[in-house]
Amino acid sequence: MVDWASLIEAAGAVFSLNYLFYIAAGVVLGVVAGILPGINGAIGIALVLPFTLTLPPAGALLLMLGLWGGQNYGGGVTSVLVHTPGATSGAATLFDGYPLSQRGFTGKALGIICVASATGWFVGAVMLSIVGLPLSTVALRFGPPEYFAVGVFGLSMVSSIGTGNVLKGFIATILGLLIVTVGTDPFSGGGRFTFGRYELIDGISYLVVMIGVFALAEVMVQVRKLGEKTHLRASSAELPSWAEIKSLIPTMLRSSVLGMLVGAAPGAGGSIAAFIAYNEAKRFSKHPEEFGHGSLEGVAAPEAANNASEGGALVPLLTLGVPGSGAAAVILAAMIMFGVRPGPELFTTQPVFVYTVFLGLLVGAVVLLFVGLLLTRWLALVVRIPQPLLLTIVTGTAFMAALSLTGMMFDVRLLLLCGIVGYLMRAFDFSPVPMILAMVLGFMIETSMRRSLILSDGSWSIFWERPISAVLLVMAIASFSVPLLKGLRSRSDGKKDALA
Amino acid sequence: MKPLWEGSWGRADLGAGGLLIALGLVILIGVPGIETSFVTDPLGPRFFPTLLAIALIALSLALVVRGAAAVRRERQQQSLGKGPLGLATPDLTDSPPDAAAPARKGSDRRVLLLTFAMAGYVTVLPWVGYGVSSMVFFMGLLAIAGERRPVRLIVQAGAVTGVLALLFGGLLGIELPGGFFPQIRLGG
Repeated sequence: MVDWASLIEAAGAVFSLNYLFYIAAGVVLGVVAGILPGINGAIGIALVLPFTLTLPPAGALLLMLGLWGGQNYGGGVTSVLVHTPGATSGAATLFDGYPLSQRGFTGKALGIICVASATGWFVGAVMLSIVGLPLSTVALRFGPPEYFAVGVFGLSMVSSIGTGNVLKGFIATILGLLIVTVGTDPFSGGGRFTFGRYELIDGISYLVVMIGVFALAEVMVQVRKLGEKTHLRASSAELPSWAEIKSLIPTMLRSSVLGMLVGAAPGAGGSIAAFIAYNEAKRFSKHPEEFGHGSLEGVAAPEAANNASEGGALVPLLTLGVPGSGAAAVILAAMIMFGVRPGPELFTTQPVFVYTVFLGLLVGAVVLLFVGLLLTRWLALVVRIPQPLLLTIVTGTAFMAALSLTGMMFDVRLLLLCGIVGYLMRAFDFSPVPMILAMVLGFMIETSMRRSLILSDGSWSIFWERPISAVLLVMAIASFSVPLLKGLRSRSDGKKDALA
Repeated sequence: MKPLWEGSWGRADLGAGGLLIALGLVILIGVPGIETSFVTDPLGPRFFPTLLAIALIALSLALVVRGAAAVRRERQQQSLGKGPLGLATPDLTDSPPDAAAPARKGSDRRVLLLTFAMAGYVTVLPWVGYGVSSMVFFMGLLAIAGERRPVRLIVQAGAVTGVLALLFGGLLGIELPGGFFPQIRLGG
């Protein structure tokens, strides 16, 4: 039931100059934070928190939410420009964003990221306001078996993404999962593969691995290619046409809904939503062969999903007081600091606040669209920087980003090792994508599996007895096997054709 | 993305598979070293790494088998390309057998040089400090990447060093290594 009086009061606040400024400032700061490697949503929000203390609670929250949304967009920008996601949520964007930029369509790639991010954010906000409460009851049913199933479903896309070499994709996945086992065992508290080094107690940051295997490895690849005659088109800042945007609407809407749903499950963040949306976009696409080579759908899907996941993450946060991610945790802390206690009663006790957040998010999406499109032409100029200078900037930023994560030189050395591994993987046709995906999902898979077995006294049937988990696992099996069977079928068809 | 390897894929798969099997075995050997004195769940901390190591070995074996089959096929194709007396059929194309070989060698040398430069940088960074080591490293990197004009080398390396120090040391408050020199604490 809509409380019209509260809605009108909230609209009056959101459309005031002060609130519009808070939202716009949040978005701009978020884009900058997203572009800077090592600054994720949680860090960005924590950095601006002290400056929001004098603001009204809803205004402060909108500034932080604006920052979160802008950061998701900014993370994709660097994926397109320098083959390195500035934020983990932008990791899936580099599969097609970077190749598209390399083909000379930098402006198109950045424009699609902007439109898709704004669409995802808008759809996420609309869905949050409509299905927020009902969805929270479903999210509440998510236990360890369901999280395990979500993780396995996320991994299932390995068979359809990557370079087409499925066997090597699976090996890279296993390597990623193995990297996650390094560090303190979350149950017993004992060390695993730490070799007595305190730097490994917290495990290996997937941001370090990601910067290494993508950014440093890319620098090495570019240095190797120096002097080669390339057939790259001159980079263009031209934005996507309306026809191109129109063709992407179904992908963006589908990915937004998916991102919203994934984001609503506490623990599953924007990066997981983006990977799943990318895979689904490829499955639904009429041109799946273009994925990995600069597909417009491949750029739009993860960006729409990671921004929509923000609306999803607000479902458990606002309705249950459960933060689904690091950024949500910082926002929860800020809300409590401002005297706003999230929970189901928030909708009845503070309706103006809730409506202000809903409307503010909708306005934030429009602001992101304008800010992003305004910045696109300028950001596209990055590719015109002379190559030696650009490679130096990327290398220097990569090393400093690794240092900024924990302040330990160990991470800087680890980054170099990851760069060499990434280069060798590229050389021998092992896509690093499944490895990163496995690192993102690995912790959730292992801990959920072990928690589930504690709940069931060691019985594996728990995964099939619970409906949500069973459905997700069946979907995962189908997702694993369909591309494999398709591949085998096309291979046997090819052999038959050759014999004929 | 196009793979960089330009040699025999069968041999590459054989080599990579062998290395990965060795890695899987090392992990399997290391698993008993994981402490399980406080077993808190039915699986324990050893289960996941063991499962993954076994999966890695199995998949790598498949890669080795595939590589061996490819090598066999390559050999068969090579023997088919030879004349009845085992003599190679004459190459009728204008290009030499491997025209790109010298360029490839140069590329590999550049990558090796870059790797050594990066290894040197991360080694001396804590001792020499951010300012000096970064300046020298960035100049080297610019040179490896093709910048030959000395003034530009110095100006660009200085600019990158300064901007990164301002960004990470100043804006984000990261303590950049000072080495022999006072630590850079631009952020206060």
